[in-house]
Amino acid sequence: MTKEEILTKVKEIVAEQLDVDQEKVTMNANIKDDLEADSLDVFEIMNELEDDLDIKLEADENVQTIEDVVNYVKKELDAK
Amino acid sequence: MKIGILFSGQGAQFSGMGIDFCQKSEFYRSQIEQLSQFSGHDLIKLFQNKNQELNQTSNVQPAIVAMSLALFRLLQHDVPTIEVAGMIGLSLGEYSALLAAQAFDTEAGMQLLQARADYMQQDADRIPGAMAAVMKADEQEVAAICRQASTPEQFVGIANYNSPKQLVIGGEKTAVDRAVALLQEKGIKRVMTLKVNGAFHTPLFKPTSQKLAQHLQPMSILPWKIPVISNTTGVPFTAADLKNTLAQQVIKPTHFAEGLTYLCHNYQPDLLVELGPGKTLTRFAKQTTAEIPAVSVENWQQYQQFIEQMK
Repeated sequence: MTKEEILTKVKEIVAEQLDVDQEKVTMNANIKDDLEADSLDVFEIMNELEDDLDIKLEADENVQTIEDVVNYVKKELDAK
Repeated sequence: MKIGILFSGQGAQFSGMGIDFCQKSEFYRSQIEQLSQFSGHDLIKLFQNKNQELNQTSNVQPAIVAMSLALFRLLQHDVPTIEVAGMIGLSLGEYSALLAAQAFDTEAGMQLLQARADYMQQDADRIPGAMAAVMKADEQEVAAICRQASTPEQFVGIANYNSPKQLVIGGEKTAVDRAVALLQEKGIKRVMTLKVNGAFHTPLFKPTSQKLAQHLQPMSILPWKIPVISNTTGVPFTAADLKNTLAQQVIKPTHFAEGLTYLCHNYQPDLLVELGPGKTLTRFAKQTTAEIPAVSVENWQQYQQFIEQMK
């Protein structure tokens, strides 16, 4: 998967989980500050990504922005 | 258009909640001032949360109920023709719903709520409790693991049936730790410990339940019209069971998903709206009754959009 494809997937899941418009889910959006997610939300977002992409993610991995999530997913996909 | 109202529970609070409404609406502000008198708190100070007042159970409960109740009244004031099919709140939110429905006199209801908040604070301080969210797991299996992790002295069990994909377990800290370890062993890995200072909706709150029953006993229940669905029974409160159900509520699991399903099935709202801080219940609604649209109103801008839609 390319970064763009991963971003599309992340946007879809984050928008659904946090009930925000997809256009707000940009690469430099901070998940907790800009998108108002709490730690349980981040946990659920990671769970959904795991299910959809068949990878293992740690919820407490230090991700702050959407770009961090995309890079983390990319790293795990590449390591598969 | 008929709406169903969802009232936020504890945990949804944020610093500055309700302040925008107080600044924009004289009516809202006057409601908050009156509720401040009844609850014995300067609610605007609690909303501002400058000294982390909202971390205390005894403060956050009146703050959330006041914010939500004033919002409901503002909505009735701005859109008098609004048709409310039914209401449901998550745990604490039931008090917002019952006060909105006028099952109690407002002053007596706020005093009852403050008593509950104080009793719960005492119980939370007395025994170290913990809670953990368990995602997408089988109810029966989680319940069985909790029984296995419990001892006669240390309880852990399912405390919240939030949505088809979210359960919360709660109990004495060591028992919850044991249950979390057992869940992981059985391959249920989607477990997250929550930052709470008590195991709400477990037998750890028995003293609260007993004191609440005493407080409720002499109170007058007023006849109310809008159905309010109980988290404890999954069906509407009745004047006959209200006192007992509220006393039981603090030690029994919440069944929000079941209650919401009942509300939607029996009263058929066209739209669900969450009144109060956060959007947790809006999300639970989308996971539970996906066929009915759900929106949250927690700030002035969302409120304006919502009433435009209602007019």
